[in-house]
Amino acid sequence: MNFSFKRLLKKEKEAPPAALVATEPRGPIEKPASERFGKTVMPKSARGAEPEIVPPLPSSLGGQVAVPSPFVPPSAPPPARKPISLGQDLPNEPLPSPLAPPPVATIRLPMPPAGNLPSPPIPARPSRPTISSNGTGAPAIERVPASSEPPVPISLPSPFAPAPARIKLPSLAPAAPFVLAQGPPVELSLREVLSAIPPFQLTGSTDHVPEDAKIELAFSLIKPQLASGKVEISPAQFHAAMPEEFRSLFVLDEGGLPISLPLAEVLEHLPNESLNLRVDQEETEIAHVFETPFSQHAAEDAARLQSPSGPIAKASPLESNEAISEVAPEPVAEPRVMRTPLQTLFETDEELDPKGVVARLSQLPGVQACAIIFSDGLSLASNIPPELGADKLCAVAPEIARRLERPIVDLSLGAVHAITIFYTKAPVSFFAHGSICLAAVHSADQFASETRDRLEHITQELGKIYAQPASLTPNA
Amino acid sequence: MSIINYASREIQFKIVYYGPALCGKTTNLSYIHERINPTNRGDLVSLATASDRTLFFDFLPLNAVVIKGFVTKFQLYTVPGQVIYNATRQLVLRSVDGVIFVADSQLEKMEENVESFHNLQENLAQQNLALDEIPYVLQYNKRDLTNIAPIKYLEFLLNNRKRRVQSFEVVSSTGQNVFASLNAVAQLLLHKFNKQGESPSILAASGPAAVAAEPANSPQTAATL
Repeated sequence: MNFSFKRLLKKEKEAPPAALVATEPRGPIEKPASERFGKTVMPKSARGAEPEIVPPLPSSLGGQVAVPSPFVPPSAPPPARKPISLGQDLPNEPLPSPLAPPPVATIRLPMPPAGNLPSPPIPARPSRPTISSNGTGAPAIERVPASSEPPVPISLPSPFAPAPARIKLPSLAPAAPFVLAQGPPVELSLREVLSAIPPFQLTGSTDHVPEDAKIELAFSLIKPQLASGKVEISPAQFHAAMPEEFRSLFVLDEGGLPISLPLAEVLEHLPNESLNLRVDQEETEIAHVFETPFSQHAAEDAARLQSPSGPIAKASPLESNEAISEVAPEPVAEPRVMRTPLQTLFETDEELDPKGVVARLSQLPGVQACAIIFSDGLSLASNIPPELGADKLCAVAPEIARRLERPIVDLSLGAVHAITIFYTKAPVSFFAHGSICLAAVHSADQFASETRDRLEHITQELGKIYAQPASLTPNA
Repeated sequence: MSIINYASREIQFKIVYYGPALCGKTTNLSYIHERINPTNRGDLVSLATASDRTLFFDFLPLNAVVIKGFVTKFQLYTVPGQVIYNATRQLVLRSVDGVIFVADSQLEKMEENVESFHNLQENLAQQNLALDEIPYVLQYNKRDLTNIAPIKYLEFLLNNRKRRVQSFEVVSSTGQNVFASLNAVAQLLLHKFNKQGESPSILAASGPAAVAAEPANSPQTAATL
């Protein structure tokens, strides 16, 4: 032990730090406040030992690795040196390239003699901005007692470094009680959440937390983070949201690690519409499908594995509660063609002819029966009750749509989406577009707005598909 | 940018499998390599560490179809998923024609998926390419595991852009939807090329003989792989 210590001292004598030899020693970094901004220049002899200048670390290490300090026996007097790294607060230092990773300063702190520890700092007056002693805005320098391990290196934020914000959290600590009050609450199992917290942030076991204990968080806290794949809240927010009887379980450290919420638990309890895809999405339409050997292999794999295959269909906003995985995927035996707008409206990949359209229309919620009437006189009807007289309805429907639309439009109340007439036997809605008229018999008094919108869009699509010369259209 | 060799009447498309580390990109390529007839594929070039982590990239050349008289070849690449290998990813992405983004379905990998997807966009932007201009599909891999995210959430994370792309539930270890997703991106590429072929510039470059060799409306003949 003695031998190694001597060798160490000898080495230190023989080989002074390379940076010291090459670089003109700089003035002390930390001076008493009276001298810091004054013109007093201390003579070299009065400075005591020269500050040790640590050469900058290689960029590959990011400058974040602490340089080991020389071994100091516990009983030895503390070295009165103030080591600093190059590139920190030195006036002649060139600015780093904006592309290069900024060097991170590593400062080894002086160890004051025993009994000469600095007195606790006097809290600053609240009306003045607090300026840290190192002038960088970083927390105050940590003092390490002489009897402890070698000084702890503190990395100061470089003035050139970008803000290291990977995930933008909503404003955390100060507004905790207010944030919790915003938006619909998301209830999570407290036990599940606590089980995901590192043990050092807990005071004890969470086994006694009942399974039905919940923690309520505002959806507005979670929503902005959903797209990042991770949901975190600050310790203060978490502590405030915990039921009071379990708060003692959690070690509240304002500056501590954010609390990561288990994603499975969060996703399970989100409001239904929170994961809806945007409604203005466009899908690429492929007009021609090329036969490739990949499709043959895909078909073979689908047959062999007997598992869901083919691309995932887009979830309909009407079925927001259902996971997309539950939508029965189509077999991949045939190369998939993009859906037509009509297929999209019916959420099917099957070929749709007018007959199929009529059959599907009658299955819409709130629709008892329906008929499609073309301008050339062809009409297709399904499930129309005999008492309503399918033939008469088909004959009259285009005329009703045509005659009523004009005076209604003249009212200047906007476009006409549908005309509904409440007959004694059943209400009937009429939709018209181009050469197509659609008559839908209600099963109840009113259609749901979704059904009405859908019927209107279907009529529009049919009108486009079966467009005829203007002279033949009923609205011409 | 696809390579069109008018002398040998060949087109080469470069498809890159992109995604976070350990998401199954190399497994995709291994499966494809295993299933395809050796006469119609080259060797799978893979440079991996002892722990099967891709060190540089994997490469698998495939012959596929004849379109407009051109033998179409696909070159499949993977990128190393680990964050530190971004320079390699940029290199592999050069002149990319199509992308298959492989996402790991495990819940704890969601953040990595998002980061990798953003990284893909950034690296494409360095080549003055926008993701929306490139044919790509999404693979949600490892659907056979238990701790996986719902498809709805994966779609919300990765497929909630203006242009919705095809996405697939994949188990690359068994081959489920591996070829289906490759076929989807191949279709997009062939469709794009076909559209370009109809444009005057490409026709003029190829000359009338090249196009006349196989009319545009003729059925595409598939090589047997």
